[in-house]
Amino acid sequence: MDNAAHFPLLSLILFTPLVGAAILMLVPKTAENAIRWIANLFTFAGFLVSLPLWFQYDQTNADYQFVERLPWIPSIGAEYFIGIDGFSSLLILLTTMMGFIAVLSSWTAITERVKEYYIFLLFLQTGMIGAFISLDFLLFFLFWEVMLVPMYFLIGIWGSANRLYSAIKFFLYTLVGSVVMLLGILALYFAFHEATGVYSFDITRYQAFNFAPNLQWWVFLAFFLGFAIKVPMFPFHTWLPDAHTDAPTAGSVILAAVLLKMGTYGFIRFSLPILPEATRELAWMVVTLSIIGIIYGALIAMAQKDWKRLVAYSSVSHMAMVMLGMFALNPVGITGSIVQQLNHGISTGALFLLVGVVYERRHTREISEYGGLSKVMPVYAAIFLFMTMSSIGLPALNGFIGEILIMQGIFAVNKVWAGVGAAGIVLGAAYMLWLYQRTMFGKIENPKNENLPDVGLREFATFVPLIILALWIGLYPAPFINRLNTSVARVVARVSPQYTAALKAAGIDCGAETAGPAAAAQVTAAQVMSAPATATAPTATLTLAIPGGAAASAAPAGMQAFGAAPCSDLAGKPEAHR
Amino acid sequence: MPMGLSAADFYYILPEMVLTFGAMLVLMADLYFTREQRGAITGLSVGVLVATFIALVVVGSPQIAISRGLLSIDAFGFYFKVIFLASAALTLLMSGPYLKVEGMPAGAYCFLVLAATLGMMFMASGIELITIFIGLETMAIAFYILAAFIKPNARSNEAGVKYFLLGAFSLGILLYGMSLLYGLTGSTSLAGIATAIADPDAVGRPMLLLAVVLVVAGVAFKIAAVPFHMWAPDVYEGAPTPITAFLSVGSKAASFAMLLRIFVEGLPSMSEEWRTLFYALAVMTMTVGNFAAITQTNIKRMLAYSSIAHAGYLLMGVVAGTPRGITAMLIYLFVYGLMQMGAFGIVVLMRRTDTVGDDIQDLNGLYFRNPMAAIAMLIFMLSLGGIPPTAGFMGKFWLFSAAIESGYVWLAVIGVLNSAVSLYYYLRVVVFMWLKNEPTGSEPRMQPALALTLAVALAGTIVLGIFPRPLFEMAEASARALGAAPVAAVR
Repeated sequence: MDNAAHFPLLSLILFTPLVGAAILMLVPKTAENAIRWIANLFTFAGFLVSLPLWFQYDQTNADYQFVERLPWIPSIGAEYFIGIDGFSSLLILLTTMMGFIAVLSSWTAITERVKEYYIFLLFLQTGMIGAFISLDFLLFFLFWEVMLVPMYFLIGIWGSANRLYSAIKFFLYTLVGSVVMLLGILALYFAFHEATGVYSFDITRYQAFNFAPNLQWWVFLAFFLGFAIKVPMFPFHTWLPDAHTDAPTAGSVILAAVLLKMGTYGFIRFSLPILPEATRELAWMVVTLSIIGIIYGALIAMAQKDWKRLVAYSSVSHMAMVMLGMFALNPVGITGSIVQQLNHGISTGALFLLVGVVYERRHTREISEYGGLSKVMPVYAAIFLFMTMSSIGLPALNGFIGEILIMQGIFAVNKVWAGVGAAGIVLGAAYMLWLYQRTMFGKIENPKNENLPDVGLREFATFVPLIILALWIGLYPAPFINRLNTSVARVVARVSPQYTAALKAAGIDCGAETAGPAAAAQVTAAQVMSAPATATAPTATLTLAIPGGAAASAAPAGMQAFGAAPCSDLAGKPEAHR
Repeated sequence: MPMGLSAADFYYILPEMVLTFGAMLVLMADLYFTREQRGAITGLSVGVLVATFIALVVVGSPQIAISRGLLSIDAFGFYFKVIFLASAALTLLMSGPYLKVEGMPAGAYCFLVLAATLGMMFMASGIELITIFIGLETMAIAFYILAAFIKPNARSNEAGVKYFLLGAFSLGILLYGMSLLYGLTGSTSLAGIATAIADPDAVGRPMLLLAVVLVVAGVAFKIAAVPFHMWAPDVYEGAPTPITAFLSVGSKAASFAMLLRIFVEGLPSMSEEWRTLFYALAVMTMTVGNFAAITQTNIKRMLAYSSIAHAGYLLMGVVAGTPRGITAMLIYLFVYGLMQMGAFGIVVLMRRTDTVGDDIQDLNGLYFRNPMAAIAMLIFMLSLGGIPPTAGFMGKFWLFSAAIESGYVWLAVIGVLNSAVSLYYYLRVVVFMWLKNEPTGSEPRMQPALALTLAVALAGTIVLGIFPRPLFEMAEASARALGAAPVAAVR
């Protein structure tokens, strides 16, 4: 663990939005444009200072990087201990980017109580970044809870019709989950102390410690409640449609793109590596709920009359897919799960922005109020089409990469699960395309839609980075997947150690000194999919017929293409899963 | 010198003596001051408290028993005395503006606040039943009068009478329990009792159990634990708001100090029994307090029920009974004092000549009239609900961790679920302040003294939420000082 740069970069990323919020407090509330400029500048600066994470992150180093460590409350062993790995670096970049987009998208949408609005958004930004960089459990919990308050206000003050109900529902739901999670953290804390004599909230130490199976089981359930509510998994999802529907556009965007990732982040960072035995034991439960969530979310989405609610339920379905991939508990599934988290952030974030654009013009979200918009808003319709395709997993766009990895991971474990997952993808295409058809195609029957202005320059600017990313991940995902290698390896080494040998052969090892050159055996797609018992297949480059540079990404170390290779042996180990 | 006393004994009670003479000075000043000068009386009283604090620091916490084992001058008592003096000072600061609006004289009022503080200080240092009881009586009688202090107000009179009748009744029960203890052990000193009942069966367990139950009931009344809480909402609602604040912070802290002294120092061998009792009390107190608070429309009543719920959280520390549990209680009492004082400070602010200001509707649109006050109240509410980064979270964190460490996992689960419930009504206050904009009554005017109270409470709530280290270390040291070694953890 080190901080090669010897510069508190993470603290800078963490506190930039907070400084912005502090400055905003000093600005008189009537200077609305000044407030908007300051908020935009600070979130943009926040994004800029987070960019070094992309360029300077060393993906051959399996340790947490950019580490900062200061004593905080020594008597209980709590520290200001922050650092990132590939997984969290991507989520932080997503957060800082979506934070800027959310702020930019609010320029004309928010006209009341402008000052507080931006203060809360910036405050929320710090909370989210803090949760992703904390390597101290108490610090993590602090940021985790801090996020609730600004989000509560964003929904409660600037939301639509039912905002008070939705805000308190969001708050209490997530709070119940997180306080139970706190008890789980405390249980680990004391168990760790009993075994080692050290009071510590150090997550890296917990990840290397074997807790008693019985304790793991209970703590897993406690964590599950906290994270599953946040994801949200069926049947804990009921707060989400309300919160999304009533939140202002920027709130929905942040909620979908980042806050939901807190739950999945929690599973991958804490539940899987700290509680591996319980994870294996209880995987059936999570998988069952995920499968229900995929189908249920999709079916309910199909029945929605409210545009935003439809996207919200599609989130339930997509996040269930993320969970399904994760609980395949093999490298490819977990990699897919993480990639799909980014994809969901990009495409669902964009879909909420898109709803926001028409909502700002018409102040209604009823799907039946629209129709034929492609005539009056061609650019809008094109962006919407692009993001719909991204969301339903069209090849060449980001959604496809995540879904294929997840399906591959899950297929190797259980073909029935994979079948259900595939059905979910089909349903997803159905409700999204149907939504597109109802809103964009046909004649304009509602006279109010006849003179809608197309997306303006500022609105367009909010979509540009998302479009670029969707294409980038869709065409050339290797840079994203490669930086996940060590994160995934760390998790896999704990939860499914049988894959570690294969990963090691591929030169990916949590704690490996160097990434050895890979012996690149070619495994065809057919081989992987038909899953012969290639029990110890070494690293390989998956030559699926995906477009663009994926196959050409001849990275020296394994997990090439989009990282599927080392996992081609997973079918040969049926005992890996119960 | 009276027999058995030495000059050293007087030195060690220097803070108490400063406070006693200071209180008398305040009473005299009230007689000799002209009407115009009387405004300075609250200032003078705060000065007395500051002088007492200086004396307290001078004496320090040498960990010795004085006056033939009546009082213990130790870090435990020191810690509590800091809480008492601070809460009394904050009470007096917000009393000035409040009494002006109510049109009541400050002289006797300030004297009584100081007298109550004096009683509390003896409760925290007493290691002998009679001393503790005298401290308790001193405090209680001062509070009976203070609760009824707003003579023209029927609610205030009702509060005073209710508090007096129920208080006298409960003190009777407590005294009966204490006399049983004395009868069974032949000693009124806590150490003597602990030695005499080292083997409870030798003394007679049934009778001891009866004594423990009676003492628990008496103490439970003072801390307003369910089912002995009935007085609290009425008294809190009727009493002058600063007195309500003092009652809910100072009196509660003193009663917990007394509780810890009696049970941890005096009755460690009966810990199985009293832990079970407190377990049941804790569960009932948290749950009833929180659920009753949800339906309240009067903010003082709501804070009363919330304060009941907080007594329930604090009892988790007693149930744990470990050093961690006691430390947790000390930390929580401190931060609870800050946030509770702050919340009541806002209620004082809402009291204007044309508005009573204690209905939750009266907070309507406070954010638009006085944003700083609304922000402060938001933070107090979040802190009471235990949301980081406030001191309330750090306090709750300790209490829950103490319960988990001692193996009372279900108690902790009930505790955290309760604290989630509590957010519902704390956030309701926020909704009125921030989301509704139909203010009633005249513009609330922030008096400097009140602003100071709120600033202190706010700063403490935030700073201790982010850098709690000094408080944690102080509380740990104080918990260690609690006499007879803390009872063993249950596994």
